[in-house]
Amino acid sequence: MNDLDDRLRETLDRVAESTKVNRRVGEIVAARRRRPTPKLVAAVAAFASVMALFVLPMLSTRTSDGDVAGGAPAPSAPVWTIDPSWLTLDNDDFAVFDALTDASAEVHLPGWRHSLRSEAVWCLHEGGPGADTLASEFPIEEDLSFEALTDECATGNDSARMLDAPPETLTFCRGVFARTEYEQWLDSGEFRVLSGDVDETHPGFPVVLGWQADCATEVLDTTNEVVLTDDLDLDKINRTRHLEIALTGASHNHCFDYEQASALADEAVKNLGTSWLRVEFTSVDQRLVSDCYQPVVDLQWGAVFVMVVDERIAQEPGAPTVPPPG
Amino acid sequence: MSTKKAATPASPWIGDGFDAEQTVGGFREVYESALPRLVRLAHLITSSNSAAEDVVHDVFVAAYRRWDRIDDHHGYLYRAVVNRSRSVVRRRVLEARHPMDASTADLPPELDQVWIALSRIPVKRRTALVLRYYADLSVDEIAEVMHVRPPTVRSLIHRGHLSMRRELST
Repeated sequence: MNDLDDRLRETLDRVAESTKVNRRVGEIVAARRRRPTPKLVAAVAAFASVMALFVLPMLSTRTSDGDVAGGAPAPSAPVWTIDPSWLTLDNDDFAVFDALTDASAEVHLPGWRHSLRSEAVWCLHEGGPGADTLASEFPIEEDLSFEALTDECATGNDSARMLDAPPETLTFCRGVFARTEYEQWLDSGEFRVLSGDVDETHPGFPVVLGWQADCATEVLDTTNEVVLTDDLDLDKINRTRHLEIALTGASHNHCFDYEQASALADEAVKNLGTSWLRVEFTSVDQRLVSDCYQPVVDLQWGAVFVMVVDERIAQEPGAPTVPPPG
Repeated sequence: MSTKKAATPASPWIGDGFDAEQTVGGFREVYESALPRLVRLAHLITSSNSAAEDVVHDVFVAAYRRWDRIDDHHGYLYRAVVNRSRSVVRRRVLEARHPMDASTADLPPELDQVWIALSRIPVKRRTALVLRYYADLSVDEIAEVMHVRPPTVRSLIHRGHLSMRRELST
């Protein structure tokens, strides 16, 4: 055993012995108690079943010929269909992003705009800081370009500013999370896969290396295992980006319930192709906290899922898409 | 039992007989027994005692929500703490919320140098070294915890040594 091994063992043991440990078990138990539980959902479902089976029929009236019928003629249920325009880009969608930007502008630097998941990029610098960031410093109406990636990784963003000088050479690769990362992601229990195969090739996202490299042979020493290839296709990413803008715009202009947003998410996956996963949050809590949901397109994981619309910008159909100033 | 679970190493650190019958009622027992070593482990990876406490707390909160659906609580917690600690370092949340304890008054100078050097090397290498030299895990066990292949672990330990020597020589 060499000297460094011994020193490492001794140092680690000594630091570990000095570690302070505070017990906060009460907070953990309390946190769970505040959340709606599956048992609660099951109880609500059971109550609804009882109502459907026994109580509602008792409220119905008997007709003259003895048949049981409802108290009033049942109106035909409106058929909900997906409007194809929700999946295509239009000016209303851009207006939603302008409004989202305005809503958060106070806490950001001038020129900031609302970012998209399809603008995700990893910027890695040899011997320097790496950043898992978003290349969003260009107008929402324009497409993501190599220039925008360069600006983000070499000169412009908060993380890259930590560099003393921008690198002279950049290599643009397509990064895909390794199989083990998907296993870990799914092992977390937060999601389940509804369609698609985690073993399939995923769409991937831009990884910009601050040195001359061969993407296919480069092995990164990063926290997440990422496999690089040299086929970064910005056209594909921009098609994804357009869809993300359209879906976000539609979700703010219409209040979709969970099932409607799920149907729209399924449609989005059809548009994106077989390399995409359709996943779902396993937590039923997601269905209880809001009335409005949106399909979310996540480029890094190559996955589409449904989330709550946090702060909806547009309101009722027919209302102005963007709130008036002031 | 899946192949992956069957490959879980029989280390005293990972898995110790808790089975699928474990319920929320058993949470406190696991919490009390596992908490100190998990916080120490997270401290060694994140270089921050306060960040380590947050990491472990967050992991327990997440685990408690689905406690009775986890087969191996200790193994799950161990892997989750390692991975969340690495994420914390990588995303540099650490720098904003928790200043690194880069130097500690409790250590003699020669060990303090090693601790500072360790805090400066890439987190993936540091994690591999901590799991090897503190937790005494084998290469295969480290691969399981870090979700990487065994050759990657050997490479990380080797490169970790090189990085440590470089840091200690400057």
